[in-house]
Amino acid sequence: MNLLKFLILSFLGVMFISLPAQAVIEIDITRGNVQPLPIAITPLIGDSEALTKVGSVLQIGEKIAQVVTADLERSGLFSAIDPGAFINTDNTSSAPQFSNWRAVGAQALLTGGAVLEGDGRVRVEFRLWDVLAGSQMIGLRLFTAPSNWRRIAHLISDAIYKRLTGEDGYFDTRIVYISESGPYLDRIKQLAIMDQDGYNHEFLTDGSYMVLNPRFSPTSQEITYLSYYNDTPRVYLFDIETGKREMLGEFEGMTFAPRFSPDGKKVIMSKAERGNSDIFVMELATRHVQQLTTHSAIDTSPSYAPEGDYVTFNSDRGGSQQLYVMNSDGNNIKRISFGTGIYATPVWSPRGDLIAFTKQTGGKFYIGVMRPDGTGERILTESFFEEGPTWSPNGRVLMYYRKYPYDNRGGGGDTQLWSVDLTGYNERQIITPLDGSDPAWSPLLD
Amino acid sequence: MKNALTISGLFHVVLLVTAAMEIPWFDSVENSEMVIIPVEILQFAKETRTKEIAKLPNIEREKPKPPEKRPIRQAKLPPPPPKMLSTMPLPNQVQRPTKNIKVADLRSVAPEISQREKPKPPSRYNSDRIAQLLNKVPKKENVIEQLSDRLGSQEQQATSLDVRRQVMSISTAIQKKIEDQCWNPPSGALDAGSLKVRVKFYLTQEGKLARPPIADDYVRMAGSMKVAADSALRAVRMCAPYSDLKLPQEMYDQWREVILNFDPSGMIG
Repeated sequence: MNLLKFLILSFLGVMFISLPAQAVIEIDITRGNVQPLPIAITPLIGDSEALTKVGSVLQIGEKIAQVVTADLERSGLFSAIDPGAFINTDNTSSAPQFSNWRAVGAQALLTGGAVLEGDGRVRVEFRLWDVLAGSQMIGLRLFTAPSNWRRIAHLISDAIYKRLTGEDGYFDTRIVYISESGPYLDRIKQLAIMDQDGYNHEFLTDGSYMVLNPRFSPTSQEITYLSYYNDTPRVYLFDIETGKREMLGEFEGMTFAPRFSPDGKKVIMSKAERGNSDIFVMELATRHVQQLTTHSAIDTSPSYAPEGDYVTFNSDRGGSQQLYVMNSDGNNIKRISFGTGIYATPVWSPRGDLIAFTKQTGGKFYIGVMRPDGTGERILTESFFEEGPTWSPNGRVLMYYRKYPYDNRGGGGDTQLWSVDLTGYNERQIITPLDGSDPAWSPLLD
Repeated sequence: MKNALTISGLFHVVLLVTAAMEIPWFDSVENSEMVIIPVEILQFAKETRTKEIAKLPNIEREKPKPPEKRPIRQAKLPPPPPKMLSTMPLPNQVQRPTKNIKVADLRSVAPEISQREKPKPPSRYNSDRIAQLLNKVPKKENVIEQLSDRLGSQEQQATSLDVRRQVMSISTAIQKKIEDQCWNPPSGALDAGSLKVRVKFYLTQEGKLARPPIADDYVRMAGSMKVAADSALRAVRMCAPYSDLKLPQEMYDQWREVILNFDPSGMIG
């Protein structure tokens, strides 16, 4: 009978325990405000007595913080908190006083320091903190020659960008572009290179001959460009690291708009002959050339998809200049642009989701993007004249050039490099020593 | 054998008792979907026609008929929240169930009801209960506080309907705070729109986080998924404490544990 009692009591006990006890509220959150993330960037601490050729280690640390701040702010995804608002800059390797950083509205915090090593290199350590969680998100240590401190800063920016956005950064990259100077009818066009933020600027050609259409290899620090050396337009290959330059072969007629394949082993270009222009591809190793289009219309500006399986280009085969996509062997050509106006310079995004283009309609020029099937066309910028978009390696930002009209007195006509992110709201000028056009974005540096 | 029969019998008795205990629960829960404030009552309760109600385009704007003498008039009727109007079913005066009537239909329905003079058939609702329900209609501007005050009164017992409605109000308040003030969804990733995150957190009675919020599968996350989870966790932390929502203390058991499903697909394509 005791067993019976036990069983009954147990059963009743279980019953009561299993009665609905405490509720859980479950809520769907489907809206938010996409805003720049507030980040506090403290100057990297360092010894003011430890001197290098580019200043003391303390100064290097401060400059690195400034460059990181500029990088992140320029992306439009972060807002750096004014250092004047900092309650303290407890910049040590131990955990910061998060309440002080919460009080100034920071959600992320960068701290770190720089030390001069015995071998003359500088060692930079930094930590990225989640202020609200009070935890470390990244901790990295980097070594370099003191003169290379800008790259350290860009690498830190890339690491922060990646951790907080989920995408690779694009700060440790370079831009080649055409530097322009002189009067309208006698324009000097030089090849130039700089960091993506405009620093470390160098001219690669002397301006004695015209250079056009520079394009970066997606895999290495090589560029192709079109040169009028000896007054003959030819496509050249130029290794930035070694300075080695080679011509990609003799072509009949005029070759232009060269662009690398995603693996860097081929160059796709258009070639004009007797008033017609078609698309060709050349194997760099063998110099073997294959013709991809054979239409009587003008086909030009080819650009590979990141997998190398498709090519986008523009053609007037439909009556007006529009964008097309074909298989990389030249088959299965499909028109993808159907809007008003004419479309040019299609460039496939490195992440494959979009094709950027220049559009001309109603007396204005536009930079826009559309999906590779032609849907979702979106205009990002507009002006009197702009063209030649190039993608950042993470496929989030476009750089292009914009030309202003000449005024009646022969002034104006400025040509500038601009960048815009995919939202279309974060438009910024890249300052160059002279005028600049036709930019090409490098992959991330090694 | 005898023991087995006894055990079986006892088990059946326990089951029946449990069922008897549970049935009213289920009954109320089921009814709660339809027992929402009857719109037509607004016509005879003149004092309920506040400015907020008058602003709504689809409410009968004609001069209300003289109110019938009913005990319900004694109840002070706070204005019903405009949000609820669209889901208001017809009241008990109408015999047939009209759960899904829309606000737009009220004009046509309302006169018909006001003309009814026949004595009402017996209903499972009485006017006292309606008054009680009406009393629970929260003010638009301070939902939680209103609910909290009412709950605190000794006169009225919280029913399961109240609980449901209050839980809904609490949910709405938390949702609004997170969505309006705290969630900054990451927009950079290619697949940003598909990054759904489920976060659980516990609150103290003061509305503070009792312990760090947890995202499901966080340890196994990487890349953009982890970034999405971080943004959700940041939102929960940034919104804390939740004391400004004046969550009703009496209902602490209801909001002690909260699960948020962050889904950016509607805003990031």
